[in-house]
Order: sequence, then C-alpha cells, then structure tokens
Amino acid sequence: MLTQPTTDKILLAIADDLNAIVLPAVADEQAKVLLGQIDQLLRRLSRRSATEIAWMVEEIHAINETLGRKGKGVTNLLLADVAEQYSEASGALGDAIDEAFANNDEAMIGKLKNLLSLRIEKEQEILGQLDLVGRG
Amino acid sequence: MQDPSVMPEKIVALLEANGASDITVSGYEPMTGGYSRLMARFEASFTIGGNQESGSYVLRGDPPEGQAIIETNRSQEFAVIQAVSPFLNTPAARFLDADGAIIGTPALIIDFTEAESTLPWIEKNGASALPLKLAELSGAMHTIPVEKLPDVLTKPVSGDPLTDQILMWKQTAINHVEHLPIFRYVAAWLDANRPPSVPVSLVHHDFSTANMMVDGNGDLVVIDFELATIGDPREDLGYFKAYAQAAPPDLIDENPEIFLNRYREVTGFTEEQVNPVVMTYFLVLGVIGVVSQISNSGSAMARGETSSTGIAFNLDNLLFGQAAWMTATEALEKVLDGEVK
Repeated sequence: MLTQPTTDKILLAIADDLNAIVLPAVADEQAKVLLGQIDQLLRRLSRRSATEIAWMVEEIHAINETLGRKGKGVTNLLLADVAEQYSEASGALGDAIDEAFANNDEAMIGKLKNLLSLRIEKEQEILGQLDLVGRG
Repeated sequence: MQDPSVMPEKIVALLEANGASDITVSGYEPMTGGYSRLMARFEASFTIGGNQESGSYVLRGDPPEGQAIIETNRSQEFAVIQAVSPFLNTPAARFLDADGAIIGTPALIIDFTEAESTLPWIEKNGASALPLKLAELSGAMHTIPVEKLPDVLTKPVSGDPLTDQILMWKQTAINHVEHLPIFRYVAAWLDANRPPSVPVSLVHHDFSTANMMVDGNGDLVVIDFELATIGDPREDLGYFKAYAQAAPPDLIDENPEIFLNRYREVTGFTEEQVNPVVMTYFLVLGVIGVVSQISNSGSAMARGETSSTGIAFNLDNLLFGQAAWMTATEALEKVLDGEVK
C-alpha cells in the first residue's frame, strides 16, 4: 500500500484542481453551484480523513470516563467499527443528558456540556469557513 | 424540466387542462436559486375565464426521484400560496400539476415577480430600511387568520407548538442514522426554559433572506411556502436569525428596536412574548423543521437509499448549526441567570 501522499493531501489536490481548472471552464450555473459544494465537501473531508478515527477514539474514552462506563473501549480501528462505537457512546451521552435535566442535576449537566463543547471544537476544525453555496 | 425543447409544449398542455385557450409559451429558461426544487422562467400569453393574460411566469417542480434535498408536496404549496397571497407580498400561484402527469414531475406555476434578490439589493442600497419592512412582512404573515389557511397544513399534534417542536428535536435525534447527543441536549434545554406562549399562526419555516426579494417599491417579497405549517410564529423569527448567522446580514440585528416595536404593533404581542431573549430561544427551536428534513435525507444516504452531493453538503452544514445552537443556549443561560442584561 502506498500511503503517501496521504488521503487528506490527495483530496485537497482534487479540490484545488476542480477550483482552478474545472470551474472556470464551466458555464452552466447549476453545475457551478454543484462544483462549489463539492469543493467545500472535499476540503472538509480532507481535514476529517486526517484525524477522524483518532478524534472518535479520544471522545469515546472521554465519554466513558465521565459516565463511569467500564468495558466499552474501542476494540479495533476499522472506520465503520469505530463509527458504530462512537454512536453507541453518543447514545449513552444522550441518555445521561436526559437524566441530568430530569433530575435538575446542574453539576452533571455542566460535565456533559463540557463533552459536547469538545465535540464542537473538533467539528469546527473540520467545517472551516461556511459558504451556503446555491442559496440566494 | 431542464429541457427547453420539450417544456413549452408541456406547459401549454397544463394550461389547456386548466381551461386556458389561445396559448403561446416562449423563452423557457431554467433558473438557479431554487434550492430544493427545479425552477424555470418562461413567457406566456393565454385566455382564461374570458380574460386575456400575458406575462412572465415561473414553473417550480420536484427534482427527479431520489435527488430531492427535502421531501415536500406541490399541492400543499399551491394551496398555501393561494391562501396567503391576498394578505402578503408574494407571487400568486396560478396552475398546478399535482401528480406530474403533464409536466413530468409534480409542479406549479406562479407569477414571476420583477424583484431583486435581497442580498444584492442590500449591497447596492444598504439595509437600514429593511428592519421595518421585515417587521411588517413577518407581522402580516403571522396575523393571517388561521381559518383562512388550508386544512392540509400540519397543526400542533399536542395542541402546543412548543411541545411539538421540542418533541421533533428529540425524535430527530432518535431517528437519525447515528446518535446525536447535541440534539438531545438542545431538546432538554429548550424544554427546561420555555417562554410565555402566543396564539398559533402560519409559520413559513424557511423564513430567510434566501426566500425574500425586494420589489420596485423597496418592499420585501416572500416566496417558497413548501415547508409552511401552523405553529408558533416566533419560530420564523428565530429561524431568520439562525440563517442570518450563516449568511449575514441579520436584518433584525440591524435595528432590533425598530423591528420589535413594529412587529409587536402588527401582531399585538407583548414585550414579554417577543423580545431579544425569546427570539434567541426560537433561533434554536425554530430550525428543527428544516434540520429534521436534512437529517432524514442524510440518514437515507447513509443507508444507501439515495445519494447526492447536495444531501451530503447540507448534512455536513449541521456542524455549523450545532455550534450555533450551543452558543445560543449558553448566551441565554447567562441572561436568564442575570449575569448579563
């Protein structure tokens, strides 16, 4: 397997070529909108592909630690399996949020909110600059 | 709908089916800007009900199956536009092909309005006149008598629009293809911090500068009622602010006092019912109608039931929303706790 250039770099190169070479050659307005969306998606996917497994694993650990969950660690690093475990941990986090609000447990709400803030920080790194391509 | 060589004939057939005669259709040209539906502009002249008409019209139809970013109903949209156009500055709905038997996809024809998209208009003319115009437009929309609206419009199932909207937040989190703890936090927070109620009204549900234009008189024109329901009118104000965060300017923030005073005057709502804090509450609550549609499409794509760049793009944009909602709840908490005024 050739690992270099890494996936994130290749995706970025595709986005740059679409933007610099393909877009100027396109006259159709709908195709331009689509290219604009593809450009943004590729740049986000580039950032995401470089780090997403590590981020998910890190967040699963943080959720398990905060909720005191034992034996729920990541068992392998296949993307689909990590994503499934990430969703499972997110579900447990959601249950804990409902319970904390139902009990008016402000200390717990604060702790859980910190976990969400960490998630949002990472999401913002992936998102970059937002441009609602195609909306007036 | 994208083929100008066949569409004029289909439009003629639709007009004939609706009782028009002496029909000519020309200048058919696909338009951009129809985010969720396909759109095209054309010129037509015809006789209907003994009256001769000619002018520009817009055909608005569903994209091919599996490519729609959101699923909505053209018959409902047609009925809503017909009901609201006597009360609002919006192009009239003229003809409907409910099942797409003639046009090839469910579609409606509306009058074309000689108006400019809002953002380019603001670049040229500035935004200072628009907070008042926005208050009048939204006030007019939110005071249309509910009994004048089509029965087909969704009403709050629980009898309380806030309860319904909060439930939709919870259901969206549950139905999505993966767990969404931020959605559950937002739902729980909204439930714990409800504002005083107001009477239900028409809610546009995609009330933003993207669905507005400015006409020759400098008045705002509102379009695109495909997501309309009956609910809490403040959902539209919140949605407007949420959209403006992603696509500035925020015409309410341009002059909140002028906007709020005029909006309260038109609607009769009190300061307790509509104020900056309540609008921020609805900034979060009001986006769930569109967000749940995006979530549904994204889940369908994840399951392999559909696929498009637009769906992936919109789903990804929810990341921006998640940050905005959490920021809004934090800001509101500080106000509610008396830390800031």
